[in-house]
Amino acid sequence: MKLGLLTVFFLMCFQGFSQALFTKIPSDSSNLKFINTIPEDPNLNIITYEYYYNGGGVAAADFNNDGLIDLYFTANWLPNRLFINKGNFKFEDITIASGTGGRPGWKTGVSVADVNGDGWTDIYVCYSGDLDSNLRANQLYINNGNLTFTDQAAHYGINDKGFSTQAVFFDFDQDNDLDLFVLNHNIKDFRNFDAAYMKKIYDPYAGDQFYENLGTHFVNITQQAGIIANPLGYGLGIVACDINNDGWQDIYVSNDYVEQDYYYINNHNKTFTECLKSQFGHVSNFSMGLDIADLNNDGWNDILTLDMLPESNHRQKLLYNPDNYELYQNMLDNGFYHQLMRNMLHLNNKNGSFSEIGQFANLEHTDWSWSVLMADVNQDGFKDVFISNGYGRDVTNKDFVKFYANERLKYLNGTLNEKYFQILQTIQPVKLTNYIYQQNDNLKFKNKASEWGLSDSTISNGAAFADLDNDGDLDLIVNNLNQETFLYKNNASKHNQYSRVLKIILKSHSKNSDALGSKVTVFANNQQYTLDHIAVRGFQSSTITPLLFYIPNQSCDSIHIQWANGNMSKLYHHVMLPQSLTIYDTMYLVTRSPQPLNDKLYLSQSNTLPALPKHQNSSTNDFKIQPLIHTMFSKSNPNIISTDLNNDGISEFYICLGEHQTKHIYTIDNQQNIVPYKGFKEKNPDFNDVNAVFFDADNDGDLDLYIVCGVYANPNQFNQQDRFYENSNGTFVYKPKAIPIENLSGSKAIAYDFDQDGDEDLFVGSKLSPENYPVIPESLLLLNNGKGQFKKADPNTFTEFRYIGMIEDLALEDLNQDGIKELIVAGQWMPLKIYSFSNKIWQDVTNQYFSTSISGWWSKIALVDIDNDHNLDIIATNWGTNSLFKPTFKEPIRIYYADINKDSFMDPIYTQYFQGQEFPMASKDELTDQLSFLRQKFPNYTAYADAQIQNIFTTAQLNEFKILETNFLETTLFENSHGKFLPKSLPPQVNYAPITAVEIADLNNDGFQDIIMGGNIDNNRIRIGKIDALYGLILINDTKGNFVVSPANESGFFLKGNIKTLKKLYNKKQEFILVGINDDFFNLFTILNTHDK
Amino acid sequence: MTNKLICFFIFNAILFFTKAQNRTQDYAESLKKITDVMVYDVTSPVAASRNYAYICLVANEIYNLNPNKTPHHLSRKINNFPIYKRTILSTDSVNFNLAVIISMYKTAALLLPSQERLHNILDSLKNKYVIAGKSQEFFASQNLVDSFLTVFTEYVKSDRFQQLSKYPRYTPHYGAGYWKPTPPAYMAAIEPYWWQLRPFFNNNLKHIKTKPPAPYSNDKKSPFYQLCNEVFEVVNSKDTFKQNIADFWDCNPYKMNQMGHVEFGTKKITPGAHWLHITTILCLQQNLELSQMIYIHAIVALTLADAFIATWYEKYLTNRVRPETAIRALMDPHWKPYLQSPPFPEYVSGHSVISHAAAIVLQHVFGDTIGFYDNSETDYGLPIKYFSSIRAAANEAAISRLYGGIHFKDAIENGRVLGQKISKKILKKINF
Repeated sequence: MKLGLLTVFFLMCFQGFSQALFTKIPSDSSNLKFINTIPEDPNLNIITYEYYYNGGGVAAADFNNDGLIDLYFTANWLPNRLFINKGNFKFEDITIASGTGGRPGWKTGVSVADVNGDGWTDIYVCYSGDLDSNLRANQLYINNGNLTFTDQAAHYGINDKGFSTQAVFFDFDQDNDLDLFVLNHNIKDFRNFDAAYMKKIYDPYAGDQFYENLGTHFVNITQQAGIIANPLGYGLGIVACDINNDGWQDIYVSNDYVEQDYYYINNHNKTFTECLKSQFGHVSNFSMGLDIADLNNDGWNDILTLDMLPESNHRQKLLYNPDNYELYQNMLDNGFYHQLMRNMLHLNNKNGSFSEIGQFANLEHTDWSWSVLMADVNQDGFKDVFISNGYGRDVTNKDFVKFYANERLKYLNGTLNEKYFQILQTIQPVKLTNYIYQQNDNLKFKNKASEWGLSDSTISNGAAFADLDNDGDLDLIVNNLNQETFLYKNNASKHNQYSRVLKIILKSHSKNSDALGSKVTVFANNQQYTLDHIAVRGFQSSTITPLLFYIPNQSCDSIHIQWANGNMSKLYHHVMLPQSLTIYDTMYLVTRSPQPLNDKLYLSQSNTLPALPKHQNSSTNDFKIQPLIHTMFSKSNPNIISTDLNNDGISEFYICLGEHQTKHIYTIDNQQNIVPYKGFKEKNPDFNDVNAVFFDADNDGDLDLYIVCGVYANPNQFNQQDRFYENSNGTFVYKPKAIPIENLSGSKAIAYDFDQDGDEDLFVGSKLSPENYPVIPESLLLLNNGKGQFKKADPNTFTEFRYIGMIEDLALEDLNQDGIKELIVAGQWMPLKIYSFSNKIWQDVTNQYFSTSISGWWSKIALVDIDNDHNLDIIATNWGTNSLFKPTFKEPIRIYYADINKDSFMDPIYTQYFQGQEFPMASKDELTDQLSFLRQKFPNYTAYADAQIQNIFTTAQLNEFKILETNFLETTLFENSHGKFLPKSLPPQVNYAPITAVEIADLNNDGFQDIIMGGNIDNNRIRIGKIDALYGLILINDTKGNFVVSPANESGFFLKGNIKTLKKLYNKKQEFILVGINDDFFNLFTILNTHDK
Repeated sequence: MTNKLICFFIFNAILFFTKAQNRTQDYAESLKKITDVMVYDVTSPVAASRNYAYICLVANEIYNLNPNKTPHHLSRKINNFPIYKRTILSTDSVNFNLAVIISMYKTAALLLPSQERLHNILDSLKNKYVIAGKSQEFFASQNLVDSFLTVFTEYVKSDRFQQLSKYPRYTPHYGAGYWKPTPPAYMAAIEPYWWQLRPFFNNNLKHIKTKPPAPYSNDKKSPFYQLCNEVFEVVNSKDTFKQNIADFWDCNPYKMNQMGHVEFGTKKITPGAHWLHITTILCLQQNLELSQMIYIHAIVALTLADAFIATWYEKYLTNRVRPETAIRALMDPHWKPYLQSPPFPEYVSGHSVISHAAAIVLQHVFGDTIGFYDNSETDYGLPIKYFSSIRAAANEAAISRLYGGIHFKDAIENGRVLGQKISKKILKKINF
């Protein structure tokens, strides 16, 4: 709370000043006259070399050891430039005198490091381009200590002749010298290839290369070290640092196109293991620059990779291809990974797994992006994010692709290259405003580019942060394409009354004189702040600068340094702030203590469960049936329904499985084995079970079973018909005639005496209308004649119940204490609803309990007394906020539906708001594929790019539409406060993915209920992609009704996949959680606090 | 340049500048302008065949509303055409030659995405008449067309095209012998339910049986492997003579060119458009009257449309793999066809079916021995080509797909049989 108030105060400080956070320093004043101008002609352009517009980099380091950070810029075609910092934002161009302009050729990235260990920073320049290999030899400018440099790349054996993007010097084997990773790319295009064959090829020019430093020279150990060097790599970004906190530096490489990114874990024996697929759910598709830093101040490094998704509706509509499921599957079948076109923020889960939450963080769309830098620019203790962007020509414009190119080609003369060149000249450059995101609490980011003074529109590539005037804040340097470089002075230090700066300079007497690769963590006021002292981050750029911490406190408690050579130092004494420290790697050394083992786990995973079959999905692709829907509704199984049939203190439970799977009732014995319950036989496996309910239908004191069936695709009389089994002395007898024939796609049945005549009736909620989403389905009220014979209620009597909505879950509770329970309903595109029985009818009394209409994609409800105040609160699970859907009350997502093309099926038109205006979600091709008459209205992409729903359809058609609306997607706790349900936020992690399963249990035996959740949805349309950031979630009740996330490495609960159900079970000794995962095996966890039960 | 000169020469040599020939020339030009719009819009071969059929059909029906001519109606001979009373359509002051041209653009504007381009052409036509003081003639003709189209639009709407969206999108079948999306764009299969459309002549095209394709096999001695080998060898031989033939008949409405992040489509006419253009060439060369020209174009266009429906039925009945996919799996993982594989199943060859179907109709009109210069593809950088007979052109169009590496021989041969059967039935039905 205190922190929050201070933050607000701090923000007010900045908003109050007329001066923006950054001030642009004109080159006339700074003398930083540098433009990366690239020529274009028929033989030199984006078609002859596909990375023609990638631009140049920036290096910031103190080359003359005068305490001021100097700057070096790479230019692709013109000479590179070296500027010496003369103080007070004045620079002197000493390129010619220093001999650092580079050779003819195509220059790309720059890397700074003291390669020869003499205490002077050297410069390594990468070369690429469709040129002779000798023109591609990378250069190593050894600093002679007198502002002259000599290229000694060949001497050291690292004049790599590949198509290089960037290089990183780092000590991978902890021997106190800097080894070298050279990031390369192919200049040929591979769309048409045999993947398995290509992956086996070692390509010395396109493949990445790794060199070990042997003191006097380097030796290429690419293959021995386990580095992938196939021709498919299109490396655009690399960061080397310790990612898994084992003290050794790992590597993340971002790759353009179909080859996915690489994640190399350091094996501590001069080799790496690439393990992206096992630790990441999905990654950026056209990955560009990246940065790695601890964004959430938990001491673990997070990874942010860039892609090219634009923010505006207009540019998205001009860019998107229709979702192509075969193409995507083809990518997976060829051994490539899940990749989607957007920036990805991979949050480190501290246990060898990452959660991708780029959309939750609002960092996903920054258009053609190059450099990303994570740094605390406003000095509030949280790292912010800078992203540079822009592109030489708008070549992915779909109108260009489909129409303009061919039209122009027809009228052009000359060679093919000349014609292409002439076409290219007519394509506009993509000049964009760079993004600078402020981090608020909890990984939520907001773009502040214009407020903070970064509103210039241009094409920006490499960038660097460095404190150029030693005033303690981070100034920004950006290398632009065909435009003068940007120099932004940061004004934070001048106005900062919130935090104090701690400047740390790391040094070593070893050959790694800057101690590059070391990690510093500062502890203060129960917070920790971590920075990695690494030279290469962002895009084609490099910095060696002091580490700058901004601590919102008077002092810090301790400083921990994990040195690159494996040693560890700790300063335990209070360091008063502000402060500047120079620390050598021989100071404050401590022995590294082993990580204490966690002995306080809540859950422990049991052995495999041989009795339980693996759940299997049907192979249906729902998008082939209704191409405009957002997710596959046919992948929502399995489900578990538990009870104690024989009152022996041991759970029995029914497992709902899919079509063609044998279903059964099971029980759990005292050896924790799950075994089939003897009194149940299912002969017909055709049904698609969704849910079930155990209840006493015939008033004979035992529990009968009603099973709810339903499908999305291919509905027929078998797979949808619900079933009823009468319990006859412990044996379940199938009674098809006890219930009516129906063909509804059910979701949940709940038993209660709905007509108050003394027997148990059934309300069966329906989830959807098969193949006709989002038509509101009919739900069923089945009335009991007292003997277990059910018939449909008269629709005129129970009108309120018939078309409630797309129901997902139901619950009963006597909320008004009148002795009759209220029915609570959750569903998609609807608010939570409450129905009450009075005057012999059920009435919608939602308004009496909820003050605002919160319409969500609710999936599960759990009733729990969180604060032991003896009234039940509601946990309602929702879709979460980590997807492209981000509705608000003012800007909801909507679905307009009608059979517009009269093909007797509903056409669901989804809309959402982009920058304040409502637009359809579907791309032009997707919409006109469904509604072919619109092809005439939108003959091209530009015509559709700004179309809103009222421009697309006629008034008559608009009148035909029904509309559903959702304005809230957060999983929420509704706290019961004097008979009103008030929304109360849960920890942000609950919104990292759709929550589709919830269970309540007291995990720590403190008498307060804790929450177990599971979720993720993989089967979304391609553009939405897998939402897989959760691995199960444990929320511990702080005994006041507030919940704290227990991370996987502390809770013992960690599962991959789409968790669809969590069910608490018990035998006579213990309690368990049984987990049902879609298309996967069941998992059993023991609740450890019940050991002594 | 030479191409254009030759082209000019041919047309001058065979045409006399009479009024009648101007009219046929106008018809040809209008059809060409509509073709250009279809090419611009990227129209699939099947969609193009439907467009041409309606455009040529309307032109024919409009021309035959002329009370002073012996009518060559087709409307009574095709499926479900609405009965309309000629008497309700006013033909006073109508210039029927002009009405035909107007009807073509108006029908095209009903069907094509870029209707604005067609409206622009019509506007400039109107202005010509207005400036020449012939407004009444223009508007009377246009009114006739409009009244006819109100009836005709309903007919178009009932062909089930608008309802195709209700069918599930295509899912490739599991197994090596079945069609899979092909590089470079891996486009989804085009129009898997096209065979649901109402044919023009044959009530049930499914009843025209075609021999099944050679079954998929990885046995080197199997007929299928032999067929693969044949495609493999032809393409690998890099025989320029054969490559030229493949190029000439490529008729790919959208070829994707990809160079890194830069990509764009280049376009050509569809095979149906090519054969309609051959029809135009022959009509002009033989100096046919406008009425005959319109009639023959309509029959050829409707035949092509039916042939495409039958082909698409066979394609999505067999779902056969393209040579590109099969050869990569069986023979050479790096193999590429000479042409880009079209995005739909292989069997039977559409080129073969529709070329032979059109050829049968054209031979029926012009005989077996007539030679002609085919300049259909000059706009797309291809030469003018002389064919000694209609049959020779059809044969070459069919075999070009083998040379292009995108069809097996059995799909070509059995396609020929199917195409010939279709048009023979049509000729019989219309008593032509």
